[in-house]
Amino acid sequence: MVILQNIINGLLIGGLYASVALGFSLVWGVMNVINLAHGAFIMVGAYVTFWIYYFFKFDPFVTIPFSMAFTFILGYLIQKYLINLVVKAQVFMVFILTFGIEIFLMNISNLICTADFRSVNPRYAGSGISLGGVLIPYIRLAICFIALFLTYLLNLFLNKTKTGNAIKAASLDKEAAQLVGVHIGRIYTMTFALSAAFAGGAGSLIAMMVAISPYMGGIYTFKAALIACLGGLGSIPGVVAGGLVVGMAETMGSHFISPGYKEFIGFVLLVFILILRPEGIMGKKFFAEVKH
Amino acid sequence: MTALVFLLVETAFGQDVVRLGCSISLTGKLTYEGKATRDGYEFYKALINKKGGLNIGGKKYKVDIKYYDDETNVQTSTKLIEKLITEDKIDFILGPYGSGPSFATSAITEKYKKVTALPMAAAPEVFERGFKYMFGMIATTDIYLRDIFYLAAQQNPKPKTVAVLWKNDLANKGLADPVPQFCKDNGFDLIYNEKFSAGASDFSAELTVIKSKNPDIFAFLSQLEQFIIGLKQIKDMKINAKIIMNGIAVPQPDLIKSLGKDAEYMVGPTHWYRTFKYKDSLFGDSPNFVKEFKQMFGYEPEYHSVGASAAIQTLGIALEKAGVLDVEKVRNALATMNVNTFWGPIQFDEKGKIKGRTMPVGQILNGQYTLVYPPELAEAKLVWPKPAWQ
Repeated sequence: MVILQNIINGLLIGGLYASVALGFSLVWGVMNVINLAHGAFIMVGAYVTFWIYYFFKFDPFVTIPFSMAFTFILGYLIQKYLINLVVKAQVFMVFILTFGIEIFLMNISNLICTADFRSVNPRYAGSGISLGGVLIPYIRLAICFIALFLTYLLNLFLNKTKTGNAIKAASLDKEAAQLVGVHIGRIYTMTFALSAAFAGGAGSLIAMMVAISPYMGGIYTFKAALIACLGGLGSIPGVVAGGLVVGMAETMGSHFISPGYKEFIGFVLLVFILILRPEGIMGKKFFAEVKH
Repeated sequence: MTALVFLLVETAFGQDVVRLGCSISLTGKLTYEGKATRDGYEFYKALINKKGGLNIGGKKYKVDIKYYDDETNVQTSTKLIEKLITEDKIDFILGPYGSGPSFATSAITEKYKKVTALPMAAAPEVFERGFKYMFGMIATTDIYLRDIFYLAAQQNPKPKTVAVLWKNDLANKGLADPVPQFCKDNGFDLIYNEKFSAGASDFSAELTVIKSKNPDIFAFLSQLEQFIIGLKQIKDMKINAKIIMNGIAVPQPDLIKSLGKDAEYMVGPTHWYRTFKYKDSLFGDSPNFVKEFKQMFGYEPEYHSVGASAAIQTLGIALEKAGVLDVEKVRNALATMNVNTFWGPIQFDEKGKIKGRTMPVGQILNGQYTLVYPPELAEAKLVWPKPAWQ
């Protein structure tokens, strides 16, 4: 029964991890930008949920569109007025810039929200269903489903809309996409804004599980990088696979080896996958081609 | 000597100033604790300066504190301490929050033979290096949980089994290390003892195993952030231990603010409490400390701020006792100190650790951290067993 419970735990947390890595993988895959501010957008999304929940008593799940809209606008502005200025420079420059943005967002949040730990704790927190002795908390179940639904929505957007196809085209071949009329600057701005919006959505979900503080995001940037590499850069199904693999590996590793090696197990897995399949579980070679 | 005194003392607006230095977390993960510690230092500074300052060798010196933000990074903290000593020429250092930073920064102050007062260094390892220039104001982690285990053993029916899940850092390792001995002393069976990594934010796998073992006593040992996450998941998993304890976070108001009624009945020790009966001429008694601190900073202090005030006050007393701004003399004044302050009796052992401090036990009852042990300080009786999760 314990093992069954832990399989469920691994799947539930894996779904959430997928949503955490979604935007990160998109930006890396399309723009070749390793966005170190990704965790900060998650933090901003978590705060939007917290404040709406706190002031207006909205159900935290209802706040997801608000946090996505807020982080979309924030991401749009940051890309348009900051990252687009250096996107043609060496990768290292963008790397430093996103690191700076992360520090800025953390400190501005510290200034506005203070460093107090906050929590979104709705009335139904802690309740769940019991199936033959296996407990499934409602919140975790809902978080997993919404995370997977958001992933599905992004996949749909990329495959079925004109803008989505333009984003994919830009990731495949920037120059060819420009030749057929794709405005790369606009597409990059849209991609980054979308990535921030999905990070904000993940932040809303995470807000229900953790303690919210201005410095909560760093660990998620780390996790997103791991999942994106595992799943394959820019590949949406790959992100889902990566999230589930990391969730299951951490849970099973904790169960069979020791909780102390949880993070370690994730990275050992990454090394093995990169040796056996360098493009990631579902990555394709044309995603995240090396750009200069 | 004259040159040294010249470096140590600045004259501002015709008033002599004794300069103290501090590298503390004002941004990063430990911002909350860092700011609370800084406010404790600032509270003392405001009060002592209002009284005209410290009386050192018959002359009044205002207290000034130079702060640097270590961004919750131990490497940065050690560099900043070195900067305070070598560039800012400060000889008297106020410690940061936490065992890890205290462990690292005290190695620098020891290297330069500068006095450091450590308000929140709790890991026993900090005091096991034969250092002579540091002084710790709080009990070390090896006794934090001792009285909680003792209290649990007095309950009827007596609990039998214990599970411990602890964060793998210096402070929480110090809390977890003596648990097997506490179990032995009180006749408990330790059925689960595992650590988790410092960055962990999901404990569902560990809690699943703990639930299957159904312990009577559950110690979840971490700082506040992970305790909040842990408690949410403990509730999700419906772990109904008769007592759930934590060594650090229970007296912190943010626990109740974050979790509301879900924080109810949590048990944890504290270094200080408003029912402490000690008093002195600067702060008065504990209720007066709380009142005046709240007037100045707009929030009620808990042990981080109070411990910081006690640390800087102790350093101030040593400076007055030494009568000169000489590091060796101030160090000797601290080593031989025997005074009573609002924090309690202050005396240090040969390792620089405060003598005779115990850890009163509190439980969150009706939305307030309330002392339940020892009987002479207790405001209520321990609620046992903890009611099951709703």
